[in-house]
Amino acid sequence: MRLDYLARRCGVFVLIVWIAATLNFFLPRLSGQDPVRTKLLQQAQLGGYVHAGIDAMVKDYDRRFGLDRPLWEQYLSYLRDAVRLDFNYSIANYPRKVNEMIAEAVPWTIGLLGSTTLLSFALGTFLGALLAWPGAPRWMRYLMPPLWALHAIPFFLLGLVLIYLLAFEIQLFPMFGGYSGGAFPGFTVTFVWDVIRHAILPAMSIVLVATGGWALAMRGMMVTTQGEDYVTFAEAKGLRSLTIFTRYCLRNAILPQTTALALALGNILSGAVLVEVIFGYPGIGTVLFHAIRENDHFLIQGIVFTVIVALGLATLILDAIYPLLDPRINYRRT
Amino acid sequence: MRDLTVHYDTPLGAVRAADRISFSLCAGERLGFAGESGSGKSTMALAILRMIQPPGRIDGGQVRLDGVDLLSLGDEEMRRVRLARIALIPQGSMNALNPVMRIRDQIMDGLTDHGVRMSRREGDERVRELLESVGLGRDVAERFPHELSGGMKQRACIAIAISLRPRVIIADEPTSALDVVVQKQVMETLARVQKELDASVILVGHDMGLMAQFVDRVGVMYAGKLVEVSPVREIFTRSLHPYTRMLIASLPSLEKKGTFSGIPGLIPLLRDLPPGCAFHPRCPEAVARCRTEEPALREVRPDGWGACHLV
Amino acid sequence: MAHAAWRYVRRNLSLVVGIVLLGLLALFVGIGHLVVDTNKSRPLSAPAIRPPSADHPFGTDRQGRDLLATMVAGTPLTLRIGFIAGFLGVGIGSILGFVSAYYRGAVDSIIRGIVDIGLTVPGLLVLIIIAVSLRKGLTVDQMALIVASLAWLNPARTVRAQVLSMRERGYVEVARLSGMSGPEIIVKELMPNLLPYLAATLVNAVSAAILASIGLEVLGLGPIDSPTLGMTLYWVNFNAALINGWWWWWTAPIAIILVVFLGLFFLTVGLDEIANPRLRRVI
Repeated sequence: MRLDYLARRCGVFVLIVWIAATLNFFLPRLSGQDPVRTKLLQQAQLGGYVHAGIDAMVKDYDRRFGLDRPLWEQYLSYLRDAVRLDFNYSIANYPRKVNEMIAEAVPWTIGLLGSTTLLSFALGTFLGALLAWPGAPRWMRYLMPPLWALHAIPFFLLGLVLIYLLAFEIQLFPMFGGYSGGAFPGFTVTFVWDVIRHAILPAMSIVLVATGGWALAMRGMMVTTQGEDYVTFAEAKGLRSLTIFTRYCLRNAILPQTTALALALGNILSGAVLVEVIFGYPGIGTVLFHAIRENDHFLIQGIVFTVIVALGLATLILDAIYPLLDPRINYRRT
Repeated sequence: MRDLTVHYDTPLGAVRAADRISFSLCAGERLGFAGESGSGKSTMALAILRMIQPPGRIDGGQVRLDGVDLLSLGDEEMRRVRLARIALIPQGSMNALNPVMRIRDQIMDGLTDHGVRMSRREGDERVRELLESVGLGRDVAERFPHELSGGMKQRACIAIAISLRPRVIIADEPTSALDVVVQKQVMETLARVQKELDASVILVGHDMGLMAQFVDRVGVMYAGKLVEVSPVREIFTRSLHPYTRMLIASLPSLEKKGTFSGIPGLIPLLRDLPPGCAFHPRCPEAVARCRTEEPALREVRPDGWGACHLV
Repeated sequence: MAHAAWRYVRRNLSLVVGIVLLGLLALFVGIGHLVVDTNKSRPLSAPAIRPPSADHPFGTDRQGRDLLATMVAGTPLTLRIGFIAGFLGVGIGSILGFVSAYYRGAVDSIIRGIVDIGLTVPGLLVLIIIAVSLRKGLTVDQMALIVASLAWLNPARTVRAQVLSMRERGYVEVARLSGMSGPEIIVKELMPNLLPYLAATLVNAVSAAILASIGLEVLGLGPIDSPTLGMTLYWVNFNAALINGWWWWWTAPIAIILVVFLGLFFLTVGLDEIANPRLRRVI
């Protein structure tokens, strides 16, 4: 029974990946634009070349990029390459390969996104649970309105405000980038500290906004849970209020909260991309931004595909963990 | 219990969910409380355990257990009274058990939080004993609530309720949502454990047939007031209140065939009670006095209390 | 009458706050259109990079746009994208969600599958792919359609869940047993109960659509020549207005976006309270 559930989830994952790849392949081609030709034309205009011979150049590049073969052949080889995570060359930064550029940017994004998501989820859930507890100190009630207000705005908006206030006016933190201009990358203390300093503002933008959302959601779950019959019975059993709070309320409220996390991953990522752009943080978001600016189709596709797959994987992992939390899931399939 | 009153504050005004309820319960006795939904019987049961939540509040009266007024106790003291001296068997076994905890843990946490210290093995032993006494096998201990049937869940709740050998067991509609065969099993289990513990039982419900089979005395509630308390035989043969008579008359019988007789009219809104006797608009025997003067509950004959002017 | 109104305000403060915020915005745009010359929102209508002054109360940007005019002209455009995409999304989504829940079976499985998968994928990225592919100079309305292509997913899921739970509640069965026909049941029994949820879903969808469109615009994929809020932010980023200290350029759009989102959010909370009476007075 448990395997059935897992198998189903894996199947969905594979389906997602396949759909992502297919969409990625067909949508750009819908517009009938030839990315290589457009790029070359652009280059030509910038460099002031004469246009003679451009067709020959295009043909050559087409061959290089594999664009001269029939569509279905391109599709199959695209799928094959995608599975091997080979996304061809970057048009704008030729001869760099797409997966090289992505591999450089991914650690930054995972670092920022991973830590902020986990932090805001943990902090928010904890705060939310406390807010629902009658025994909580009174001043906590005053936390609610600011949390409420903050969570409604997009991450990058707060980012802009923070940059101005803390990086421009007060100059407490650096304004953008992942690390300072002339720094030497490496695992030295100075570099690590530099990276952290640069990451604080982007991280704050995400954490301050997201925490509010999780706190409010958790509080809502807790309130609902507190109204359940088993909590009434627990009280009638004369259990201590701490026991009721943790083992009866928290333990049950965390289930829908985890589901919410799995569903929210996509949105969090979208928000994080914009944050990276605003801060010039060297993660996937900035690379994507530049790729869009330069019309680098392969790079864009590569990034989108990678992100979709990564998210699908994260969702799959969360789905696999869920039955460990909720003993009811095992048996639902029968 | 003496003059217990419970108020609910609603946006439309204060509502008396229970109005000056008084009765006494002897050791080992089974007392049933019958009435329609909204008559105040569940409220009263919760009030005994001091589990009335805002916007409700207990507004006066006394609940004495072995000489101690429960309403005067502090919160922590009252917590210790629950389960150890007075235990609740909840209504609607569907949802009374924590879905993410095993049965064993749900029995143990009651014991632990009341200061019982045991080794792991002793605990397992105790759990097994309790489950056996309600007719459940030892394998139930490791199960989760959703793996049990309705009747099994209810019996597990009984096991939890008796785990600290309470003096009083309050059973709040323990068999609603169960089919008759399972009902019988559950009630038999309850009777058996009660006898073993020599505890008293307060059975709250609306099924007069169930009352007839199980309890010694019956208290009938209407619109938040206690209108009759009599031994169970006399409730059926010579009841002291028109409402009781009509309730019994509305029970389907295997002997009598014919149309059902219900009680005409609806229960009055608790915030909008009619003057005088609350039942008079629906009472076929009402006289002028019933419309103006509220009848008090008085001992009309030995151990027979009724709140009606005509008795 | 006034007493009852005041009491309702206290009970559902969110709804009132939301309406007030959005009302202020509407006033700003309405009065703005009367008072300000929206042509000044085009480039080269004013000297560049001027801080706020009597001539230009919101200052000007690098391309010579009067920012007050830009805000007045751009806000309704952004809102329009949100509304078109939101309405379309909720419209299509409700129909699909409804069909899925009402008729069950294979139709339900297919629709639910698409919705589940669609919601797992990060919407912004798919929108980026679409927008990049269609890069031929987008208009505001085209943006709206692009955003709408994904906006129907969430409403479909919500409506489906609602209709399913209403089915469980048995009054559909009762209605059918008492002889009502299919469409009659839909109109007389299900619709009235669905309306509060639809309203809340609609506000939600509009909010999400505005967010998505602003996201696309900040990335540079929006209608380049329009003075929408997102495009203004794009230019802010492009011209490194932050580093250069031209604070007036981004203060106005950010403030307006804040009001939009907060207003829509409070409206959602307020509508939720109406739709789900069990949530009332929890605070």
